Amino acid sequence: MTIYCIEKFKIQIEFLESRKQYKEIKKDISDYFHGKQIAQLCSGTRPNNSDVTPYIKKRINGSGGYRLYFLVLIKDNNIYLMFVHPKTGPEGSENITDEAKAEFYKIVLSSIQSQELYEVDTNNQTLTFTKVPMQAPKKK
Amino acid sequence: MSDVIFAEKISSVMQRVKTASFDEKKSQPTEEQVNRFLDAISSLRNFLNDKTTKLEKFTEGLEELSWMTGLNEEHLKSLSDLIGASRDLRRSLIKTYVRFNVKVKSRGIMVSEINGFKRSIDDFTETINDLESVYFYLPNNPEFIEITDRLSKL
Repeated sequence: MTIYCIEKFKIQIEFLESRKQYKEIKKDISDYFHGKQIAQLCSGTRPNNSDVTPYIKKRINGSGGYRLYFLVLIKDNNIYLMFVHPKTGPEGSENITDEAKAEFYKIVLSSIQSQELYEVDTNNQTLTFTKVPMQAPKKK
Repeated sequence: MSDVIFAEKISSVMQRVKTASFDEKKSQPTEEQVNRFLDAISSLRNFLNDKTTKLEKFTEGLEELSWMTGLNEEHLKSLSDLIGASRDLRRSLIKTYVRFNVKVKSRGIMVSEINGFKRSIDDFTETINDLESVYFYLPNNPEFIEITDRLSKL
């Protein structure tokens, strides 16, 4: 299983990590994914009603923790992290709107198509981001 | 002030202290009374924790319902009824929370349990709204549907 994220997600994580209330965010997210198979990650709420490309909203660290939105491409065994927000603290917020859910969905599709992604390593109880090299366009 | 007045004043305060000391010894709560009070708090705590646990299970149940595909009109009608019933339950839970908040938490008792109960109500509410969105709003968003279709063809 390979985990990717869109650039917006990386920026968001780095911003939250810089706030003392969320300094464990990389560990919390890493702990959720590390060592799990895709089938074990298919839980939470699924907004897009798709068995092959489930869009998942997951509660991380219980009620007062985070809400994580990610996409799974089952046939490729890939996960794409799209958005995260804390429920409490200075950056805490309520549920996101359907419009916002659609917007992240649109961004992830375009990022997959353009390969503007970061590969996310969940080892060592943290998240490490590595930019995915752009592929040369296929010759006709 | 004369020595006699000083002596009377001291004696008067002394008498009040002695009386208070005697009353205090007499009015100590018995072990049984203390235990009764602690049992009542413990029972209230269990009552609320049971509610919180039950509510967390409801929330997980609602989340699981978002993973169903190929639902027909009858299923959607049942889901709509379920969402309505869940909102009724939420209203009752909020009333319970307010009662606990005013009568118990405001006195510094069971603060973390009451906060936990409130968070479980918030999660339940969030999941009801999400479930409604999954089956009744997002399927009517053409752009959202189109992205799902394009992703499945990647």
